[in-house]
Amino acid sequence: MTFTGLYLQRDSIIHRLDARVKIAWFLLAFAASVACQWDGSLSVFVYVSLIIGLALAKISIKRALLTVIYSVIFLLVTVLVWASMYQDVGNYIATFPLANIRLTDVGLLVGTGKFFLIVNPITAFLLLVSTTRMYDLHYVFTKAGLPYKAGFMFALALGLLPYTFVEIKNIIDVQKARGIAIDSRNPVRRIIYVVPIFVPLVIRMMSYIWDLSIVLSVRGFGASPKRTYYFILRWGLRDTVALIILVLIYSSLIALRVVGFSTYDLLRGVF
Amino acid sequence: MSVVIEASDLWFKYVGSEDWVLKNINFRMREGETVVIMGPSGCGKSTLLYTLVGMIPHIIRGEMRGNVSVLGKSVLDSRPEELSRYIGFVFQNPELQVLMPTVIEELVFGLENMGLNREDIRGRVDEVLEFINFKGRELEDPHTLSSGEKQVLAIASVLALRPRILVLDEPTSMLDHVGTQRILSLIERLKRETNLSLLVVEHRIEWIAEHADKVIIMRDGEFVAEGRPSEIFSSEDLILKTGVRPPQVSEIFYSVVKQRPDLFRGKIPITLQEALSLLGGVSSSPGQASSEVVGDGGKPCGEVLIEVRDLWFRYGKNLPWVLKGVNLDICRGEFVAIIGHSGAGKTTLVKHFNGLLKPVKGYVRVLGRDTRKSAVSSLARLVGMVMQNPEAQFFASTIQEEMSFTLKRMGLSREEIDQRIKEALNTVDLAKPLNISPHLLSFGEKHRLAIASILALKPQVLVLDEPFSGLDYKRSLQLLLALRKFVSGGGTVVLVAHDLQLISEVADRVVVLVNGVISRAGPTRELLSDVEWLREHNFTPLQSTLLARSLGFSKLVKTGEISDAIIKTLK
Repeated sequence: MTFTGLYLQRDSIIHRLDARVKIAWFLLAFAASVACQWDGSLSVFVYVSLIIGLALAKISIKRALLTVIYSVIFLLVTVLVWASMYQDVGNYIATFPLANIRLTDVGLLVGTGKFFLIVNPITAFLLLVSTTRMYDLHYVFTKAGLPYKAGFMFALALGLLPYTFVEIKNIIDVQKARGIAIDSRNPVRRIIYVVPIFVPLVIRMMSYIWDLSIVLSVRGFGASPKRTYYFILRWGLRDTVALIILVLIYSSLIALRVVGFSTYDLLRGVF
Repeated sequence: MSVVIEASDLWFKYVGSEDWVLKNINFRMREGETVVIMGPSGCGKSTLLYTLVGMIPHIIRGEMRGNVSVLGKSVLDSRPEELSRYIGFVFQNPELQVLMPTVIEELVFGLENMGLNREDIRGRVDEVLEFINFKGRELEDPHTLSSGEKQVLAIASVLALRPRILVLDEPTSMLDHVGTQRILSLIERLKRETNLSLLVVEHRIEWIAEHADKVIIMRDGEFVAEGRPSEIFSSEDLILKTGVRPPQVSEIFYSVVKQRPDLFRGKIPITLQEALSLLGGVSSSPGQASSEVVGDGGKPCGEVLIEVRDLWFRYGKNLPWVLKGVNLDICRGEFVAIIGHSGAGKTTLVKHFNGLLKPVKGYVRVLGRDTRKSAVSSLARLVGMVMQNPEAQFFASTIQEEMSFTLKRMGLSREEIDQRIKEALNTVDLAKPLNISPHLLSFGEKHRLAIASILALKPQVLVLDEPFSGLDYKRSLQLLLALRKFVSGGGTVVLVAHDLQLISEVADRVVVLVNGVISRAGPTRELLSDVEWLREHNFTPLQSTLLARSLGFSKLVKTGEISDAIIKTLK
């Protein structure tokens, strides 16, 4: 495990951007998602912009799409919950058969808006941590006045994610090798077999974090109240241009929402 | 020479424990000295090191009595991160110590923590890169390095802090032969070219005998012997008392001198050179070398239990092949060792034996069953596998529950389950109450429980994948000799390991994997005595075989048979 976090090494225009631009991108996307949370037809553009960002970063769009695919159930539930609250508002479109919910255009717009309110920040975060070295993020946080130990905790937490998956895989292998049918098709057995995975996992992770804290202390972590950085960030023209473009895009979306514009209304007017 | 570390009347016990782990330790280390601490697993070696670097009592809590000072500073008054400026610490597991995504970030990490400016950091990093021959590799990902290189990097990142004392806690115990050689050479260079004081916990006896200034032997938290290597290893009584393994040449001479006290004026050599100079005129007579060999360890294969044919495997479509056309038969009643350097494909190969991995090309059959068509849980009853870390498997609150979990699901009666648990624990010599938690066992006992819980399934084949990390030689050997009982009862053992001495004691056959291909397979004696071939493939031959070869006993491997041959020649 390392302080690599979820960073993916690529040679891309997004990777070359200054970490501060990408942090601003995350914050702008988050702000736009909050502003557009009542209108999915607007907040979908935030999502599209992030997908374009991932494509420019040469990161498999599969990674981003997986977020959506895994959230299909979440999407359905979110849309239905919000649609049920807005059954009597807007134009009737159809009735959801199982729960007998009247789906209206307003209900669907709010539902999808709320869905993107969750998915957009996750995707923006993914874009940020996949394209920015933990070292640079840590540097920015420290320069912003955050205690460097807190910045490391953040990096450590991210780094633990892939490590946890590796450990789970190892433990599953070990238990399978003991004849425990972890991959049983019987759902009751599968639930029972969570214990032989979960308990060793917790023990392994605790032991790992303990070892890690000792390794950090012998490498002088915390020895000096002020930590220095060997690699420093350099702001360039491309960062300024990128920041201007990003501010324009997301502030336009926010402004459109503030003035009451909706893509849905526009499309309805056209068709 | 000034004193760099001093411990007086040191006692320590962990929080919640009744037993003292360190008992009345008095210790002095001088500047520039190389001190090696030895002792069985769990004797308190690591605890002592933690105390000396200030982790105890600041990070690891417990009751401490006595005084410890590093360069005149009491560890009670200095936190470990402050002491890290003076005393560097390297652990046994390189994976745990390599934290950063590039070599250079790894090296600068500690220096940044110290608050050094960029110019100072640059100077120190250049110096260390030069010292470890890593110039030009600054941007490499440490995780793509071999385990030996990772450990070199871990040492370098500590050296960059310019400590005056370097503490190495079993730095080679998790490395292959190439990695071990690399680390030991680096330590030798540090000793030769710097004035660093080196405190090392290490089990490579032959290396210690040559390079340590002082050896300390610990047992049950106490120092039981302390002195120069020649003082320690030349005394068989002391070795027997302390229970450590002596250098192989010393072991050979204990036996020779015991039978012929008139020889060598009772002098016991501790290095190969000393042994050879003592044995100056000794060499085998023509034909003696072959007559000394009693059986070559090779057995005819009665029944093939595991059949591997043209096995190809890779972890992903675009990734390189890890196994390339492996053909292998594992027979009933044999003890097979699989050796190879890190990344050779040993673990990948044995994971095919119980279906954890399925061949991409070729096939593996276990008692005639194709592993591609069988569930792992059913194959696991035929081929039991014990992996490196026992902690990765224990989940129940008692030993009884831990061992009976799978047995219950096999539909066995209570009596049958109890009987199997008893037999399995007997085989591994683990006599503990069944109602205690597996997590309360010592590291060695956990290993034995992990093996017992597999043996209780009554597999036909037991696979041990590097099961002895963190266990000393004596305990590892005891465990393996216990498993010979399993083999003599018709079972089969496949052992993946690096320690050739252990292998020479227990294995009937050795299979060598090199880059995913079986490079050589044959009887243990034949393979381990082929010194040229081992060297050519970067394995470190046993000291006993080097001595035997120099004397002309080219097929002898075990210390006992070499001492007998020497005595016969001298008659």
